[in-house]
Amino acid sequence: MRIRRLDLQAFGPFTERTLTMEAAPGSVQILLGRNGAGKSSSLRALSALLFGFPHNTPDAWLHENRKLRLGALLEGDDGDTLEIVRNKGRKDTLRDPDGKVIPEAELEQLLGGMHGELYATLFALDHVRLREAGQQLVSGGEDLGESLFGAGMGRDVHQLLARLRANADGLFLPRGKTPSLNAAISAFKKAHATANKAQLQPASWRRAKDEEARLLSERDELGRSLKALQKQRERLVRLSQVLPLLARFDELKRQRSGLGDPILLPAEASAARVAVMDRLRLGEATLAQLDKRIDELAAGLSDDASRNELLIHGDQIKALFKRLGAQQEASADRVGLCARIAALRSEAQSAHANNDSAGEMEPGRQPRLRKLISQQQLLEEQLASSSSASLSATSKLARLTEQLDGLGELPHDATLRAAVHAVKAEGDLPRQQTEAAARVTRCRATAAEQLARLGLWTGSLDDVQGLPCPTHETVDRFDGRWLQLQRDETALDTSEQNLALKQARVDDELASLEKQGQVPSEEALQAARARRDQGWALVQRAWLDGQDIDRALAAHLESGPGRNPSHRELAVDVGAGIEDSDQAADRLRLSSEQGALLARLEEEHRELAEQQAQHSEQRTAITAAKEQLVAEWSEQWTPASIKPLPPGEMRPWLERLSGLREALDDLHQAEDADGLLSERMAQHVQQLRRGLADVADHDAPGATRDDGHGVIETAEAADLASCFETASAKLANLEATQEEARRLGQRQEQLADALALAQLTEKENQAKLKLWQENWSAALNGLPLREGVTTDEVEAFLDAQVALAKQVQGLRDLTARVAGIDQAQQRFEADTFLLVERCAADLKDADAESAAEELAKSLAAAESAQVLRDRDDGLLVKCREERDECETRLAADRVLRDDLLRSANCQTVEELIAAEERSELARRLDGRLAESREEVVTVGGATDLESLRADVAGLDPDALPGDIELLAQEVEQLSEKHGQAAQAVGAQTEVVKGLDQGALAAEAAAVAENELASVRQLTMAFARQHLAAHLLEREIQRYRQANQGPLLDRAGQLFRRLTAEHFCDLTVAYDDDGKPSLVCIRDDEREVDPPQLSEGEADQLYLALRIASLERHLQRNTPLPFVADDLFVSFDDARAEAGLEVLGDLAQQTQVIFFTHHARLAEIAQQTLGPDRVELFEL
Amino acid sequence: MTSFRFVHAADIHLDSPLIGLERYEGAPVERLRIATRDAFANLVTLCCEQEVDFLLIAGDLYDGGWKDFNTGLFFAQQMHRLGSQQIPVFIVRGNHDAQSTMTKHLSLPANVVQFDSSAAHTRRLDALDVAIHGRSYATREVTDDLSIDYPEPLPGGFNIGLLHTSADGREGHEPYAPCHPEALVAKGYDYWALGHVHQREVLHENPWVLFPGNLQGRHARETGAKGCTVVDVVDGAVSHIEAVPLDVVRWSRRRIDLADTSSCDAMLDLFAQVVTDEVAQADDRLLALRLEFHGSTAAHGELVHDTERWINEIRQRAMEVADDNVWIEKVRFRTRPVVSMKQLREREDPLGELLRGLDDLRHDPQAVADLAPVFDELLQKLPHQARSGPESVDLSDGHTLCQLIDDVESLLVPELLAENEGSGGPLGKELP
Repeated sequence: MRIRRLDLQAFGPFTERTLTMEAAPGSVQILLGRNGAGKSSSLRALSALLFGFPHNTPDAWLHENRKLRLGALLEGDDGDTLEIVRNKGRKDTLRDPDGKVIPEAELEQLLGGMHGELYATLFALDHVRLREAGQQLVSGGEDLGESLFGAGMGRDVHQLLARLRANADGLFLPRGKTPSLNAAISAFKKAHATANKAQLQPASWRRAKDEEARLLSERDELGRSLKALQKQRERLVRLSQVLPLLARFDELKRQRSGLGDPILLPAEASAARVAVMDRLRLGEATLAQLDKRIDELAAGLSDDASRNELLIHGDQIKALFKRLGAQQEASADRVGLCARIAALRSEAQSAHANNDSAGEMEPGRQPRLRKLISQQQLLEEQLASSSSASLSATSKLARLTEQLDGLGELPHDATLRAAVHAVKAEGDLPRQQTEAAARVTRCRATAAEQLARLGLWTGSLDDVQGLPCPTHETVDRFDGRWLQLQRDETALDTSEQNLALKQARVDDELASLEKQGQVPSEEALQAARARRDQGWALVQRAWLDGQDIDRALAAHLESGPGRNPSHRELAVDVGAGIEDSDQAADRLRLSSEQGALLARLEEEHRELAEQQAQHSEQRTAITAAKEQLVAEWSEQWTPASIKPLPPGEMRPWLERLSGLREALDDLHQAEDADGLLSERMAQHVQQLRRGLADVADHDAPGATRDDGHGVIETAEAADLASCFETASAKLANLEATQEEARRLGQRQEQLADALALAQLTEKENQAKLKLWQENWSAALNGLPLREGVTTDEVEAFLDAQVALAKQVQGLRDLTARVAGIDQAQQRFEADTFLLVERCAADLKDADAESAAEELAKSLAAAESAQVLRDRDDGLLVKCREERDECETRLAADRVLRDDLLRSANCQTVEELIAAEERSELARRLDGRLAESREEVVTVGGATDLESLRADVAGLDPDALPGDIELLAQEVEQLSEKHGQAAQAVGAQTEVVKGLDQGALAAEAAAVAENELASVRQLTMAFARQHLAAHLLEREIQRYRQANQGPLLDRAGQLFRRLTAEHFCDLTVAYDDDGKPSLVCIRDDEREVDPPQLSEGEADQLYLALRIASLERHLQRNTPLPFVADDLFVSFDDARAEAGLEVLGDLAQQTQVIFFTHHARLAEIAQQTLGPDRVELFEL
Repeated sequence: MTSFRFVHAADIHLDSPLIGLERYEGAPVERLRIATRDAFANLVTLCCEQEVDFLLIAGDLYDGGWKDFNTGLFFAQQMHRLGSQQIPVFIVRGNHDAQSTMTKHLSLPANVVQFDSSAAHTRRLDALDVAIHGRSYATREVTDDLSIDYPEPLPGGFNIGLLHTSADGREGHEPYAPCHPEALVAKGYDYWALGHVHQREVLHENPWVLFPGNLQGRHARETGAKGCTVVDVVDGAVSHIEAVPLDVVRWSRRRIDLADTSSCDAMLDLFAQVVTDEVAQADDRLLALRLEFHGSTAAHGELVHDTERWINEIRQRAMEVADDNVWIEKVRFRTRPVVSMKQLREREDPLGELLRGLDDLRHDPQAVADLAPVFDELLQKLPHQARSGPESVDLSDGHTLCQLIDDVESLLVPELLAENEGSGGPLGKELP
């Protein structure tokens, strides 16, 4: 792709600036701009144009963001052009010059799928980047692979690798402590140990609990003993306290007996008597007071006749007083009303004099006249409008008829239309064909790749489908047999191993038996037992019977003559005899078991030998079966000439074969589809050509023949795309003409209809105006108006009539209001005098208004007096009721007093008081006796007095204190022991509690798990960085191996040119570890390591590598414009000249746009490349 | 027939720690340390508050390898709480309990019944007319179908089978005590209270056969609400069944598509919305959230270049949005650059060759396996616990290595496409 024109319409400092780049391929476009002229903006414009505006742009300072706009004419590798306009926005930012949206994919296709970031990396280079990359190249540390990969990518991969490794080292070092993962591992181990330490072992808990239970048991036992002693001591103390209480009880009992048997009055009897007597006294006093009050109230009540009359007519007097205010106001208004009547009457008489016809116009005429006046203007406007419409329609219709006649007759386009629609219905057939062809290529490549991966068989793709191979079922069958044989063999191996182990054991046991030697006889056992018994008989004779056994003993021990063996020797001999006989018996019993064991082992030995023989047979059979199976298996593969692997391993081979066959099926399907598509396209081309021939003669008016779609060109069209394009354009042309004719015809009909309608409307409006004039004359008839009066004059006449009528009506209303006020005054006076006569004769000489006021005052006084009388009436009733209640209470209290006297069997109140005192004394003694009994029983801890008396009966009161003291000492001692035991229990309980750490261990485990999570996270983070460095390094070296030769050759040539032949080539050197690095060769054949290069030479070395990589890239990818920004600012003239020559060569492969602000570089370029190969733009 | 209410729970795994939660600055550490304890205490509180008639625990009360006796003491305390409310508890020991030494030394109150492991037995609650049949595991690995020997149902009563089983097999669970749900149904019991499978699942209704799931999710694969099942029985028939969440930490995993975002800030905004929704759904519980971002986005380069920073930003935003109600368990950036990887891969340049090289590597299992020694030095230092369990890291595993190769590709592409850091380049640093 190359840029043929760059439109800086609104961007940075530019407004509507166009750079037309028309120079032939091989030319360098130089954009020369002084500082601030917009060179940097132009550079950014290229990126924005091709890949869209960035979100934040520095180029919106002259033009607003939304107005930024760039355009270009782009030319593809095939010569096709695309004209684009780029706006800033979120969507649809790419359009054509007419504003129609262009899909981004269309531009992407032109750019060969290049992405913005990658383009900036690969196809753009400035002096800063050149200097940095050059210095990185010569600073050491980079190996050759990194240099080549970096130059190919335009990226500093050495630095990237270093960063990845540093990241990885920051996470983990095998012998490090501080990297994150090392630290996390340490933290986890520590937390894990803490969690383990915090755990309570069940056995520890059990031991502590058992100890606690034991101590508890001891404490409880001591507690029981202590309790018994305390109980005994408490009993004696209790009994010692009971003895004086018993004596006091007996004394109280004697005093009570001395009182005899008095009447026991209720405890509340005295209080009741006092209350009744108090109430009787109070009631009698109250009764006297009430009688006095009743007499006073009855005397104060009397009647007043005049006050009664006022109260009876109270409502009427109040109503009259209310009317008094209104009446006074009406009298005041009356004066003003009379004045207004006089004024109005004067005005009306004056108006009547001016218009002597007023009042003669009949009802309805005035509205009719006003309606006619309003209709007149509307009717005249309608008539003028309809006349104008009629004229306009007539004129338009004439012009349209002329246009329609100019179109002429249209050809039949049915064949062409059907052919175009048929192609459209097929979709994008050329693209489909391209895709189908690409699919064929892909399928073929896939099949070839799978064939290469198949292995074991060599043949062509054509032979694959016919390759005779066993079926999956056959493979499964053989695999089953194969596996069965393997299992049998494994089982046999296992069985043989077990057999060998058994055999070894049996052999060991047999050898052991042989080592145990001779078996003792039954006779030896009998002899040992006889000697033992003989010795024991001698012991019995000496010990039990007291016999002399010296001779027998000597005989028994077979001592020599003259020697008398001692009894001790006999004891030793008897002991030895017992031991000998026991050993003999044991060995005899053991020998019988050994015999049985020997027999069993020999039997086992025989069985094992038989089993070994069987195993040998099985082994032979399995080996034969395996050989047979291998032969049969190989035979299955003979037709395919394949030497097979075991069935299990051939299964994936068959799956690969199956995949290959599927790939071949896909290939055949793709080829078929491709062929069908080609046939269909040929048919469509034929049909399109027929359609075009049908319409060849037509040359519609308004269509031009120079539109590039003439019949002759169509007939010569070679492929479907051009045929379809021509036919579509022709059809569109015809359709446009047909559409125009149809549109003009419709318009003609519409105008004819409009003309007829306008003429009809005009006539109707004329008739309406005539009718109006007739009605107007009729309406004016009889009015005092001159002939030919205008509508405005009539309207003024009518307004004057209306004003006069309003004045007359106002006069009538005011007169009526004055009459009403006079009538109301008369009614008020009559009502007042009537009430005066009834209620207040003393006011008969007063005027009505004064009388009404006095009546109101008298009424208010009468109402106040009535309120006081009503209150006294109520008090009298209440006093009488209270007196009745008081008498009732007195009677009841008298009955109560009499009942009290009767219950005490008394005649007088004084007798009653004495009886009450006796009763109280007897009751008190009874109470104290009961309390004393209770105290004795309680202190004595007994259920009843009698059992307590029996308990203390045998006690010696004098000995009691000594016994109690003794017991107290014992209790104290035991209590101390019990306390110690309780303390031990408490301590152990604390130990147990201390063991219960609650959730401490669980929490510690949670912490450890948190740390473990960190370890896992960091492990994955390390793995990513570490593996990224490893794989990138590997791929870099692979890239070096694949590209080193051609890249270095070309870079060497470029380096020679860029250094003005101070260097002649580049080569590779290897260090002791075999690591390759770049070496420069001077013109004197001396090798120079990059670190020894000067800054400028370093720049030139990087540029050589970069351009060599770019050329290699261009050989295999879509060429795109290479942007160089002031690359040679640090080059001397000779090297700048060489650099521009190199760029000139590069321009043969792709467009080169060189930005600079040095006019000198532009001059050098023109001198070096010649004016024809330099296109200069000054910004 | 009587009416009553009981609770069915299983797989308590008391005091087993929550797995995979990496600590970070501001993480609500204190809220999750004893999550399984708190969840169990919630269960006991529920039983007391709802005055249930009995509690069933279908195995795996403890975690197999956990030996701290304090856990047993805590369990005993909770059983005392139920005992004080006269609520009996019926337990079968599961595979983890059989492995645990706790049960041999722990004295439990009288209201707790543990079924024997020698054979299936029946315990009756005469007042309720209920028969509970159960059998504990004797060893960790029980491969026989224990349900076959469960007693015949008590005629006329409400029969419950208490069983720790993998049923007919569940992914992620050992196939212990396998059985067929149809056979359980055919047994004639009214309710089968199962345990072992951590995800709640109803295998059959009428009669009911169900796993209540575990009480507290313990790692990112145990997401969603966790708790017990409350069962109401009216006149001898199940009238109502309700799953009641009791967990104190709620696990959740979310994939967030960044296809419509063009910046890391937009990613954070999108995340804030997601975390707000998730926290709302967790009902005031602490939310342990695992995130995976995917999709093609312009932010991809920044995210993979400085992953650590953006994870911290996400955690910070989570704290701003949800205070201490959320713990960001793990963040994975599985995003892709906006540029078409297919086009890059087809290019004839170093980057294209690199990508094709990685592709070849992915498709060659042997070559992938050969990468494992790259991590030998790390593996020697790595604690074995990191290589086991649900969140294990196995750098010798082919699948893990392939995933790492994907990560490497994601990491390298933006690094190789980005402009050199020292210069904006002639076309300007900022490109769309």
